[in-house]
Amino acid sequence: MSAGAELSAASRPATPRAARLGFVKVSPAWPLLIILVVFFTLGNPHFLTPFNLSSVLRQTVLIGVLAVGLTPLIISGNIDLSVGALAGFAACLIVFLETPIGVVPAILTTLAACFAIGLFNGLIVEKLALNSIIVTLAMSKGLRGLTFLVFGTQTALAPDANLTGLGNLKLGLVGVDVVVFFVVAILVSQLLRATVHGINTYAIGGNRRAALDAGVDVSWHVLMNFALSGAMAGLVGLILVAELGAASPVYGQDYELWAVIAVVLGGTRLAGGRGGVLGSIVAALSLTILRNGMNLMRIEVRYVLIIMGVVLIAALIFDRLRSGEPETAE
Amino acid sequence: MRIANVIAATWMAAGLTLGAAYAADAPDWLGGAPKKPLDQLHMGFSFQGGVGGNIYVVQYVDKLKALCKQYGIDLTILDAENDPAKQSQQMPDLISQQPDVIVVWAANGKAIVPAIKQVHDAGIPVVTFNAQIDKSGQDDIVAHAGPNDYKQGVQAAETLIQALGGKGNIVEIRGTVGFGPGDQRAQAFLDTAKKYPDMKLLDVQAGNWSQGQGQSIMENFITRFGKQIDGVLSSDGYSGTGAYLAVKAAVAAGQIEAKHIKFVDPNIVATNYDLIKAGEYTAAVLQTPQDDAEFSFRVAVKVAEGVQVPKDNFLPTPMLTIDNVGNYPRPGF
Repeated sequence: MSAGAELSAASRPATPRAARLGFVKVSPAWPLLIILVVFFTLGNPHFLTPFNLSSVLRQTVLIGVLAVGLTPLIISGNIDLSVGALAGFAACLIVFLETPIGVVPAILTTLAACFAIGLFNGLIVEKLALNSIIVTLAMSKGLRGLTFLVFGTQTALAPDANLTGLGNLKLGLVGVDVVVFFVVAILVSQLLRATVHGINTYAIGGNRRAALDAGVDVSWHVLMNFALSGAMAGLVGLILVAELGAASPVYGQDYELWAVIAVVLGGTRLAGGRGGVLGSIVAALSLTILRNGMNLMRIEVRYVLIIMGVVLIAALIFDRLRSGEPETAE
Repeated sequence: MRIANVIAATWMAAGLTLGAAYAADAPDWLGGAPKKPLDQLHMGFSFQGGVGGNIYVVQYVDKLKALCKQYGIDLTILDAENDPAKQSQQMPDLISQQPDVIVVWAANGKAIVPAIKQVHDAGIPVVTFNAQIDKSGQDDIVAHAGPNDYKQGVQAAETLIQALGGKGNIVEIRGTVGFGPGDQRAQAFLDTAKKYPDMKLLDVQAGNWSQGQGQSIMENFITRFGKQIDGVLSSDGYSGTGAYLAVKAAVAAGQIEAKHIKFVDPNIVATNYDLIKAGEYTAAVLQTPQDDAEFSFRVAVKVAEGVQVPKDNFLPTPMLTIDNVGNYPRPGF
């Protein structure tokens, strides 16, 4: 067993407080999902139709992909608040490059650029020992400004209609974007569960000092998680262009907020050391169902905002309650 | 045969009576007998967002709800929270309810096109409100209703340029980038200014329809350009009011000459209505959310009822100056 695995498998003795709060060990995403499905099924005849479920899956993709990308990073004890701005940047870059170099090279170049930007975030955090919240928040502002500067202020139509067609293509009731989402989720889940990188990610998030002392290359693994987060933001930019057929420099605003909420609601601790991709997906799905269900039931828009705000607070409370638990890997 | 004739006559009489009843209940502005009673209509409304912070949008939505309630029309409202992707992905939520008409106030006129095509393909008529969509989506809508942002932009630009005698330096505080009205008003100024070679645009920044941002931007303009500024063209009354306050402070500090700078915007609000009355603000175009909502509502109902309407339906928007501002009520926003 690797040093990281030993560390992640060890658990501190549970504190009395943690023992009393044993019920919060389970991610609330699963019971929330079940409750919401039952509630909205009973509340609206359109909810459980194939058309609406297909729509729900599709609406989950953007935040879901970002949440999948953020999960390993948050498990390792960091965060990336620039993913929304990076998705907007990526969308504009793809459209910008389509004409001169072609669709496929534009996509690959953009994904590589987003990977590099994520890596850059990681370098600043790791090498300068800065807080990832501040660094990535600053990067978010800078990226937004850079996007306006480089690509202008107007929305640009995607030149290649085939890309838009692909984005709106369905395999039966399931969109291509949904398929991509689940493939990516499976890959990242396997990365966390079945690779040395994944095991070390948990170890680093659980106890960074202990991981360092055990000989884990902490910086390398954190950098890779930042890079992965950046690449997933690039993928979201691609999906935006494929679905909407256009790119605007304002795409992706507040996406990072909901992605982080999904990760935390899914059972991943903001402090690191615990969590998983499946929880993030279920939470992202739950958030989408909540909004979709309220739309179908014609809940007044002001109440929708209030309810979504309550969900944000609930996610933070849940994370706080879990902060007293012993650190174990899933 | 005789019984069949009686039955047919009875049905015809019932139909005529019902039609007469529908016509009697139909408002005059509908322009004809509705094919369906208004209180059986269902309208789906997807709007760009802003209930959380844009007073114009809040009052617009409230007026629309009030009108639907008045006529007994079932209304589903979806708020896209200024996210073009969210608005696009919400469209199936409306389609699944099979409303008689879907009205769309687009968060992004280009990005919404595939979603509007989806609605069109589902056989539901689409009317766009307020913000116009890209020409690539025009074939999929039945009509557009709302203010003519480009024309209002031209009105405001011409008024400001004339107030400056056709020459001078202008700074512009434009609306949200990528959002139809903001883009169209900004483009209108650029196009209008080309006719006046002695007009110079010193700078343009996005105030995002915010008084606070308008004030901050104007303070920065004053710092950079000082007494060079002759006029301020704002995207709306909020940022225009912010600009005025910044200038007022600069006048008090001796940085700017009093009464020198002219202010014009294409969308009046309560504060600059008061300033126009006081002679402190040059002019603004009258466009209230209530008028906007009611005008567009009528077009949408006509479309739902199968009444022919023009493709483009623009809200009349007079220019208010000190000479005529007293003829119009103070806006409630």
